[in-house]
Amino acid sequence: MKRRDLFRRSFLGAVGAALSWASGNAGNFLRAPSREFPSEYDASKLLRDENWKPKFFTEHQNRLFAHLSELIIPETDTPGAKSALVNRFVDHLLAAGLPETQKEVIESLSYIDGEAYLRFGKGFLDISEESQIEILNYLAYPHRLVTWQSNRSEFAGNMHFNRIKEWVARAYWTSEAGMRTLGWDGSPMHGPFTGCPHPENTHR
Amino acid sequence: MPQDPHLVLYDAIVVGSGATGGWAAKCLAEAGLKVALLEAGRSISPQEFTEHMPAYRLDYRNLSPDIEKRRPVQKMCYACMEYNYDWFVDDIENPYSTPEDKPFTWQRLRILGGRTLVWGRQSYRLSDYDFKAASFDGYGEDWPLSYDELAPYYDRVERYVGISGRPEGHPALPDGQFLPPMAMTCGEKLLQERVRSRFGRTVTIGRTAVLTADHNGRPACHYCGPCERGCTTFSYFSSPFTTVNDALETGNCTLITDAIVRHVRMNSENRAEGVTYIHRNSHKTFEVNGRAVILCAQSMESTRILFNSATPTYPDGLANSSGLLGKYLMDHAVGAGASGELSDIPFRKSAAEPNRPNGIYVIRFRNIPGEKRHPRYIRGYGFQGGSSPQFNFEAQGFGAAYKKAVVDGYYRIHLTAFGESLPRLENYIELDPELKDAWGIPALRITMTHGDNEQAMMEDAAASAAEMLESAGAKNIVVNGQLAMPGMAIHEVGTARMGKDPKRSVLNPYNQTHDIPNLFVMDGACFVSSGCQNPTMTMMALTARACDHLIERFRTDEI
Repeated sequence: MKRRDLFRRSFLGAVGAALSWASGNAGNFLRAPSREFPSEYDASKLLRDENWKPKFFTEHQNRLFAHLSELIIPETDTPGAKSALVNRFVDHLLAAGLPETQKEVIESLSYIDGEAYLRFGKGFLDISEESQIEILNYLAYPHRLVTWQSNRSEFAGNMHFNRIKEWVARAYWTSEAGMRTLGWDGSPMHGPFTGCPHPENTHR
Repeated sequence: MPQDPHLVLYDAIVVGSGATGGWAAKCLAEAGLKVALLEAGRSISPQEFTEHMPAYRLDYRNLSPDIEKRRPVQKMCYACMEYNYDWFVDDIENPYSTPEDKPFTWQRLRILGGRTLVWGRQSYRLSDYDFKAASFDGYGEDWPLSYDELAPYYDRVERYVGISGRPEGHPALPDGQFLPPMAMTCGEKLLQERVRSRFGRTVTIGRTAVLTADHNGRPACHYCGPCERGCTTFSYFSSPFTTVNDALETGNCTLITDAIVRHVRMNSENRAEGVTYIHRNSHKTFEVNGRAVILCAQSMESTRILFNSATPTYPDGLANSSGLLGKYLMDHAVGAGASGELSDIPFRKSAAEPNRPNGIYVIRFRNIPGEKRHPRYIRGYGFQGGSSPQFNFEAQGFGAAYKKAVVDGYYRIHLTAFGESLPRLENYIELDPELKDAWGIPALRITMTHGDNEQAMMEDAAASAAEMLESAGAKNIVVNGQLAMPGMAIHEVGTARMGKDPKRSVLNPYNQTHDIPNLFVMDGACFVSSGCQNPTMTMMALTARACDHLIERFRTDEI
């Protein structure tokens, strides 16, 4: 069956008839428009504007976030976070976000900058890549006090790193480049689902 | 031009166009009755469906902060997302209250088709273990009907809807009219075989209202995955494109959208004469008249309409001579289960693979009549779950190693319990004395908590999920034995239960109110007990059965 036939058989014609009395009835009945996405709708195009400027980040925050994003998800055999414009999307998302969310991200960016100042007397962007990686290695994993007791230490640095990483990851894995890195090929049709190829009772 | 529906005397007014309203409209219109079908929301068009649209084309890649602002309650639903959130009610316009220490999340849609647009589609029958549960363990009341009485209607609904599944011959979960079952993964087969041999429990493929073969003019599923964003091939069951469409095609059914029913109007002879609705956009008030009024608005919404229809004869709510209207609210106990990793199964994960919109189901194995009873609780639970390769978005670290770890993924296995929610008098809804919705209609106050029985059941479910995963060789098993907030199952049933005794129930066994002969409630409000099975299939079968009864009464001129 063709999709077009399905649309024809669908209720649209019937509903149209059912509603027509209303549209002819003194115009009291404003039908709320449905929320449709035109087939070419693609909000990611806006991010590629050559005159793009951050709406939420300062210039410095934007550069720092973009740099961190590429350290977290670098270019390999597939594109990295920077060319996927992760910083631009996160800026767009935060500009529309709640004030608490905005505050958290700025705090965590500042924390990472602050760690660089503490260790090297310069901001994160101004230290060598080797030093940058050293800092991230320290922040990127959960910290736990290793003794014969099982005391746990809460380490703010890991929380701040994870917060930045989470925003980078969300933006990257939902970008076209990220989806293609996961194997997406642009087609929604990959059926049928064949499942386990093995004979019955062979998993004991 | 078609006639103004406000000047017509309909045979039947159906309030609500979801799973049950669609069936009521279809059955009655096909029997030749003149039907007005009222929907509180707007119409829907297949052009709104976005199941094939990648997230990066959305304004906020499915992370829109707008959802939080107007739909903080709806957002708790897994299916409420940037793609479709305006199908869900606006929480600011549609408030309800709860006692401060008894939160309840009420997730709902107001749009043609209601929750059938986004439902989980799992479709199971109840058995006599459920219909006669009170006789077995002494708690609550039996249903006023048996499985045999409902079975022909399950057959009819399943044949029309198209349910894929596998017959198992298990008395706790009667088989139905199935299309071919969906396939299981290696991990699921492994679990199935181990659990059968170690525990004698049955793992089966989910029985789902998704077509695995062309059926009734709708093509089979193409396995794109995100059904909750709509289906442009109508391969899963949603009422607008099936039952409602059929009703409209008879020419006997008039659909009135944006009609928020405020109350049922009564005449002086103890009969409903129609409903009064408020137009969603204009806020103007309209009346629709009918010889029978059928509420299919959703369990709590139908009861809310009855409360808002109080008269001097029925001061505590229409059809409430029993005093039980609003009582015995139920919602399945959920939250417990376990997950883990199957590290011995080879796999390669890719986003370019078929995405099965279904999982597996573990049939209830606790407190089966004739078998050992659990010492801590009555009734039982089933598990939904699945096992398949997943991307490892939780991977630690950063850099190329992190990126590779995400892509490489892991083989996940998980089970999530759905437990029976006991009908308890202390779980109820009423009108909030002050709160009103955006149309000035008094809103509900919902008082519900899960009890000790549900908590004990969920703890046992967590333990039994862990032992089953372990038997399948799962590693890194994580369990949860805590109950989720009531409402999270989105299986709200009860508040106008059916029964033979008018003093102990609101509806008779045919969903007709005991008090008013031409007033019916044909949705989940009628449930006497919740079972542990997803309720929609049973609701639709009950509606079809009640409509047969109503049509017969029209024939014999009793309405």
